[in-house]
Parts: sequence; C-alpha cells; structure tokens
Amino acid sequence: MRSNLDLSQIKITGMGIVSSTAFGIPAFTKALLSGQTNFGYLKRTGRENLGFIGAELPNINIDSVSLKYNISFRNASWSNKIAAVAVSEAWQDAKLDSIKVDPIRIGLVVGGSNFQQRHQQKTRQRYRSRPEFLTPSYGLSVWDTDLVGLLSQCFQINGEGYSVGAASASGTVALIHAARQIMMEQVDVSIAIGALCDVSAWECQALINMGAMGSERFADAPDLACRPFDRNHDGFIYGEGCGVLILEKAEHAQKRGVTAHGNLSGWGLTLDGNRNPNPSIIGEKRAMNNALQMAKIEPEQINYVNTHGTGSPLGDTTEISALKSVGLSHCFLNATKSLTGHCLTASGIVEAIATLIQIEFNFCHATRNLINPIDPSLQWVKETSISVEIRHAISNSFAFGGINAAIIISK
Amino acid sequence: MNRNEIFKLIRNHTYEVAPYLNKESIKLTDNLKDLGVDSMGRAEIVMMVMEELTLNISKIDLAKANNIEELVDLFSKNINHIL
Repeated sequence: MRSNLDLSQIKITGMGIVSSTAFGIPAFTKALLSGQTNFGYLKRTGRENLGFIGAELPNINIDSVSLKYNISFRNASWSNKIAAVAVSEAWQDAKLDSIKVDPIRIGLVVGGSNFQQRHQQKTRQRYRSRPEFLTPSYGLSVWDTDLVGLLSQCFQINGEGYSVGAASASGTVALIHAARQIMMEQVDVSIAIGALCDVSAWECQALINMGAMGSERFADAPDLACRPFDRNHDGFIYGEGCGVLILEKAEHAQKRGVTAHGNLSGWGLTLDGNRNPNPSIIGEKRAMNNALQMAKIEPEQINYVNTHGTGSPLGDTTEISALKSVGLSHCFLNATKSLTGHCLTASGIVEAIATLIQIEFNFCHATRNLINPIDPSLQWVKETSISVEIRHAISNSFAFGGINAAIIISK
Repeated sequence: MNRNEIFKLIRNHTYEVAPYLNKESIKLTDNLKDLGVDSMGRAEIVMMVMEELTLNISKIDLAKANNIEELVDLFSKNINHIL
C-alpha cells in the first residue's frame, strides 16, 4: 500500500463500549480491575430456556441516545441500537461533539457479518403464519449495512463507509480498515465498530454441535464455564458486547487538541488456506510476525499479549505454540473473554479497548477460572490482576475460515 | 369497525412510527408526508393497520390515498367488502 502517512500517525482518540459487565469506559475499567463477570443462562427471546451459557447485557436505556441525536431506533435491531450507544460514547470521548470535523472527512467501518441472526429469527417467527403483513422495515434491517446507514444518519458521517466480515476477527479487521482509510488520506477520522453478534438459538446449537461452544462440563455452574487456557476448558462461552474505537490522523488530533489513548503501531492479517474451524500455528505466527515487522518492533519489546484465548482446547494450545514460536514467552498473558465472554464479531474491538485501558492504567486484568494453566511455563495473569507498565502490546483475533489477525497497540 | 375507529387505529400507529408528533393533534385531513413521515414510515403504518384489520390491499390502491382520510375510506370500503 502506498501512503503518505506512516503508522506513527494513527492515533486512537475515542473509545466506547457496551459489555455484559459494564456500560461505558469508566465502568468497564473498574470491571476489568476487579475481574467482574456476568455469566448465566441465556435469557433473551430467541435463545431462551435452552440451557445455553453466556453473558448478556443487563438492562440498558437507549432512549437518551435516540433523543440526543433525534433518530428513531424503533425498527433497528438489538445489535444496531447498542452500536449507536457505544458510538455515542466514543464520539463524545473524541470530542467530535464539541470540536467539529467536516463530515466528509469522517469514515466508518462496521466489523461483522450476519450479526443480527436473532433479530431475523424473531421477525420470521412473528410473521410465519401471515407473511403478507411482514414489516416493510425488515427489507432494511436484514442487511448488516443497515448499521452503516443508521450510524451515518445519527452522527452525520459522510466519508467512506461499509461493513467488513471476518467472523471472530471482524472487529480487528474493521480497525485495520479504519487505519487504511486514514493512511490512504481518504478521511482524517475513522470509526471502527465491533458490532454486537446477536446469535439465535440456531447458531448456539450449531456451535455446540460442532464442538466449538461450551460447556458440557460446567452445565450446572455457568460462572465456571468460561476458562481460557485452564486444564478444564471445554469451549468458548458467548458474550454480548459492542466496542467502538475512533482513529485519527495525529496532526489532525493535535490541531483539535484531543489527547490520544494510544497508537495503532502495526497489524498482520493472514489466511491459512483452510475453510474449517481448526486454527494453525503457522498462520497465527505469520500474523504476529507481520504485525511486528510493520511496527518495526522486536518481540522482546512486547510486554503483554491480549490473547485470542477463547477456552477452546485446540484454539488455546495452538495460540500458545504460536506465541512461543514468535518469541513472546516472556510476555504477561491474559484473556479478556474470561470476563466478557466471547463477543464474536465485536471481540477484536472489545479486546483492543481492554488493552488500551490496561496500558493507560498500568495493569493486567485477571483471567477468571484460570487455575491450572495448560502450560505453566508462561507468564499467566491468573485470577488476580497485577500492576505492570505496558509499552507495547499485541492483541490477537483468530477466526473460522483460517483468518488470523494480530494488532500492536503502543502507549 | 367504523370510520372513527379506523382513524384512531391509523393515528395510533402513526404515533408509534413518529413519536415526536402530538398524537391528539393528528387530523383526518393530514397527509403523512406533511407530518414528517417518510415513505418507509408510511409503508410501516399501512402494514400495521392492515395486519390488525386482516386486510391485504394492493400497493397500487394504497398509493392513491393522498391523506389519512382517504386511507380511512380505502380501509373502510375493503372491510365492508369482506362483510
């Protein structure tokens, strides 16, 4: 890619989050510090009463956002309403409310595809016996890009905008695309959204049947089910969540007087050449090495890795081998998914936010239920958080379809 | 269902789609477009009313109605037709 800008020019100036443990960055920071979780049995209509374990959002009031930006969310899906709330926080954090930017210089990338399955399932169920009365708005809301439209209307964003799909790496790929928009000088500000992946009972059942989603072992103890890298791990545990990061050209942020949370210093994005869900050491290693090379950083300079760490036995072991082969055995390691659940399409952004917060507040959060690590030789942050200064961190996102993404976030 | 009841039904659904309106001030002679309801909103309102009345009127006929009163006429005529 030819670009006039180098990577040191990409600053992160806004963050917003809605997760199962906390709404908003200040509350999420506290939740990370205390190692809070919110696991239970899934209760939302369309996946309720079937014994699926996961972490859903507590009740949330979206009316204030709807009123503030004078837009009706009546026919918007659950994922899209939540995204508007998270963007609203990031928008204010980046001071886009007070220090205006020309709308044509603001871009938008939604991370996630097929993320509104429960909305679709509910709509079909409701009109099954009388399809002739199907709500016309379904013709809009069925598309993932309805979120692109909703956000661009709500926040008046008129630059480049689209959605990108990379399964569980979607959020990370959205972040990479937002950086590319800025590096190609198409926009000065770009908003990356990790959309809430609203699974229906059908996706839950399929993921259980394929052996990816847990947990049989802890069917009676939801709080113990999510345990990345622990010997008793038996699959990932779903979590609702949506994260938003605002990227901005350094010079532009400086002119606006906005302080940055950190820097996106590099990334790697590779394919395994494998349609199946199984991960690859080589593919993951290449993603991390490419990110290091782009950032011009040696493995020894990385202090901390925010692992992909889902709790999938094969996924966890593969990631450990890949980390070792890259030369990252010295790093502190934890897994944000042990607290938030696996936010699927949103996880890359949720975890990039967790990484930025840990860098800003000098700590590594606990990995819940990590009691007996499958590899005790590594620097795990187990059930207690630790104080540590982080200069450079890697955040990994590995996805079905052999998609591997790694990003480097620096202080 | 008489004409007044059909009007109230349309008014309720209009308010549901456009909650910024004052429900009581919506009149028979109002045009949805002038009330600030876009074409998607109009389609939603019409579909919700038809669902409640179990009516399925052609899109061509629906497009001819110029204001709320003409929608009431159209729905009323079709109900009577069924009866």
